[in-house]
Amino acid sequence: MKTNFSNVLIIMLTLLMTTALVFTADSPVQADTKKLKVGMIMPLSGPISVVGVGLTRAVELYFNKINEAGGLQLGGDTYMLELIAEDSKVDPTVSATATKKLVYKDGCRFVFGAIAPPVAAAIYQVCAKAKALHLITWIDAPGLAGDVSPKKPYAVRLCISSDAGWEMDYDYLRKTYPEAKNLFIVAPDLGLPIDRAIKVAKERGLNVLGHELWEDGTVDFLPYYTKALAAKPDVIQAMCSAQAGYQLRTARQLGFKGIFISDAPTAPAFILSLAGPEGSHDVISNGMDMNSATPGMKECMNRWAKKYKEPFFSDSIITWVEAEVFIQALKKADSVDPKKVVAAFESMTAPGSFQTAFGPGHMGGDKRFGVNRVVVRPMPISRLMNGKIEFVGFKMPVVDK
Amino acid sequence: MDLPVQAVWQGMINGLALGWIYVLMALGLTLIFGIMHIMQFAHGEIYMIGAYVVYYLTASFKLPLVVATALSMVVMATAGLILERFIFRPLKEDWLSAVVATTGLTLILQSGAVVVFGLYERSIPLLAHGPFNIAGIMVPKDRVIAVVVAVVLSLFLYLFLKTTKYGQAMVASAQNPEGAVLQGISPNKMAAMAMAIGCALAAAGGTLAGSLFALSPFMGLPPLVKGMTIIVIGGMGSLPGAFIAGMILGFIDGLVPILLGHAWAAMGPLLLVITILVIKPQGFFGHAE
Repeated sequence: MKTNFSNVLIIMLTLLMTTALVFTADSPVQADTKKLKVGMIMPLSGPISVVGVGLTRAVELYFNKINEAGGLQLGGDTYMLELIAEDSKVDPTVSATATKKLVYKDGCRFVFGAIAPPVAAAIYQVCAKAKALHLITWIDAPGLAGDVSPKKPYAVRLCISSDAGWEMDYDYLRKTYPEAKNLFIVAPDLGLPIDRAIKVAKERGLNVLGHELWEDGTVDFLPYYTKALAAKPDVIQAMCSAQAGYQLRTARQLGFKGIFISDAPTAPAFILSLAGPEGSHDVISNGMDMNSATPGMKECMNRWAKKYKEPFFSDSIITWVEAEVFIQALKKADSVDPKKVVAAFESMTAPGSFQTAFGPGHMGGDKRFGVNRVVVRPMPISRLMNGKIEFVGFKMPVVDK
Repeated sequence: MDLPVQAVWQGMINGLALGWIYVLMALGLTLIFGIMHIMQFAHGEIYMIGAYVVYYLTASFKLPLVVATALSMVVMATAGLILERFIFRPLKEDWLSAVVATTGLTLILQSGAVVVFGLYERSIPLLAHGPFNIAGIMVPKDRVIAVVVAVVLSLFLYLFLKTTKYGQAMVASAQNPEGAVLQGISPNKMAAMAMAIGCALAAAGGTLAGSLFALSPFMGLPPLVKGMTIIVIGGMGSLPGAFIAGMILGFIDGLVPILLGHAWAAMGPLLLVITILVIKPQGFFGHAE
């Protein structure tokens, strides 16, 4: 009996081992599927929540695209991306608390954010302590609190500040309107480097007559444009203002017939809807004309239309592209270690190091900021003429000047 | 940069337009306060919703702006009647409850506007395109029309109060509520009329502002604050006071930014309020209790 039982046991063990060998022979080692949690801090409530929600959705849509394709293969593991969004309420204290929750409770090693520089600064402070990477999604003006610097090893800027487009805007202005020489700047009081604008304009033969700065929250632009038009400019530059459409309307209502430049990423269609066909002539815009969307942008729009009932928010393309660049940096690092990812970003300085929906780009910023941690990618130029949008094309901005 | 005379004149025209929009807001608030003794904190939201009604009537139904504005005034007047009957009338004996109710109404209407209208900024069609050229001074046509519309509505109100039976009954109710009741004037009817007229004026003010500036669910707060500032300066329940204070504030907002800068323009009304509260706490035309 004892011998029979032993025999049965040996046979069963042999069968078990044979089965294991058969099913595991010649099959690759299965990578572990892990979750990569990425945080995002944006204004999800309040007056500018339309911006915050739109920018957050675009990153979420891009992450969905990656997950649908099987996730990210990094360092032998497969990562499915999970975006965890928190409300900044445009308040640094609230944002710092939200960031702590993301990095310490949720385990995020990367945090996208924010819109306001003080909020970005608050996010960085928490990220740096937790050795998480802060991916700066928006900056009003370069060099403000919240921007990259050599003293901030855990910050990478994925966005371009609007001042980087001034060279290309003035070049286009001089080429298209050679007679227009007198420029007046009406800008939001956000710390924009107006002195640099004046220098760049003068280098191109433009005469800057003056500038007016308006406070955040302004709705009535008539006093500013009254003063601007008193100087009799040929060109008015509204710089980076989401209210460019209202400003254009105000300028036209005061009888200004000259050229109007908007450096904001606001879609020219939005400017057209506010200023009307009568006012929409001789307008140069750095917003993307979605009628000329690239395949990457169309994919973002299609995914949005499938998931959300609200109309597409065109500024969302910005963070869609930021997510694109982030994923490419992760792949280059082949790691989820924030330090390795920063090193990967800093190595991507050759033109065409990464691809975006706007076109090929690279990292820059060494000459101006001391570190190559600012994304440089093409910016669109459109012109509004007689109520119609003419897409001029994409040009490379100047970040290192 | 030396400012030419044109810039100053433009500032004055702008001040006039802004002043009259504030007056429309303040007249409604003053009327409601004078008759009902309630500070209608949700008046800014009535102004905002009135503007959105016009937006939808012009954008979706392609109605002319004049027709849409008239309809919006009727709609908001009706809304005012409903609010008076079901919210304010039951609370008329309890001042504090009325304050809480109007504050709650503000939050409900604003949040509802965000849900219904969304957060995308929109704009009502311009009242008119381009400027008038008056002796070399470029004056935006839409601001001039805003002044004309506001003046006409204020005149209608004035004539209504001065020459009609119901108008005089409203004045009597405001001056002496007990005496008015003894004369057979129904306080509930007067309150309903005050609310309806106040809301209609707010809708008109919102339409003018929505055409000149931007339309958003949060556009109601700044003019409400202006309206309340006007009431403090002009005197609670005083229509002439609301007019004069509205004009003063309008000219501060239109002219001071051009002459002295925006910091002074922001401080001006606040300094004025403090001065008035110190010298004459009941306002220019208010009565000491």
